[in-house]
Amino acid sequence: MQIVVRLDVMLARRKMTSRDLAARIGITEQNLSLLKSGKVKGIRFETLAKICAELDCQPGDLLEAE
Amino acid sequence: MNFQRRAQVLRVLVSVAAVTLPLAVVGMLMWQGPQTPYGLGVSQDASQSQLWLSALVGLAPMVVGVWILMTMRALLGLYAQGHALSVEAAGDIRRIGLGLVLMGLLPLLIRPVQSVLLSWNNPAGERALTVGVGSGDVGFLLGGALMLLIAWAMAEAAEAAAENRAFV
Repeated sequence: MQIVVRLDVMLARRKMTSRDLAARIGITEQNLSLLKSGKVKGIRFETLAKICAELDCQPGDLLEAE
Repeated sequence: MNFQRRAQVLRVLVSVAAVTLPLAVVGMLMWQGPQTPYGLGVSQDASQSQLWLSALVGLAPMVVGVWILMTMRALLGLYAQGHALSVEAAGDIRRIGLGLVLMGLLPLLIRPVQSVLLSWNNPAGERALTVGVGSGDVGFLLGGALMLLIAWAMAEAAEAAAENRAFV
């Protein structure tokens, strides 16, 4: 089973760019891009909480098990 | 002065030492000529060729010392670039440790070789084989062993740092 990141879907729904989100949560655009493409080993709870706060969503909206 | 700046300054000093140390040693050798090493217990009547051969053998620790300095320079370069917790830095620390151990072992080999070289032409019964261990040798061995342990720990730390960087 793999964890798939649906961040791009939430960004489109909230009409926010990756650059804006990265700036708001305090990570680099490069790291956010890696997260979107699922090329990271993990995400810190702190980062996940900030993303959920900015996109007004739940962690389950961003992460899906396939 | 932050860590990276200090590493840059130290790197310059180490680079200067790596150049001046061999120049000074070779310069003194050429200026004063080879001398009978102190504490070997051999006669002062060795020939010039014996003295020169003994002096060349005695240069081995200097060669290792320069290698250690060049490795330190590489390590400080990594520190100056902000790559303190890296596999490459751990490798450099390991090589410095190996160099220090070698600095501790070399005299144990060199002293006997030099004493045999310098007493080779002596009459039978008057040739010498000198074996000795100095506090400096023990210091280098222990210091080198400690550096090897530190290198192992740094390699673990570098692995943990790389794992941490893969988290966002």
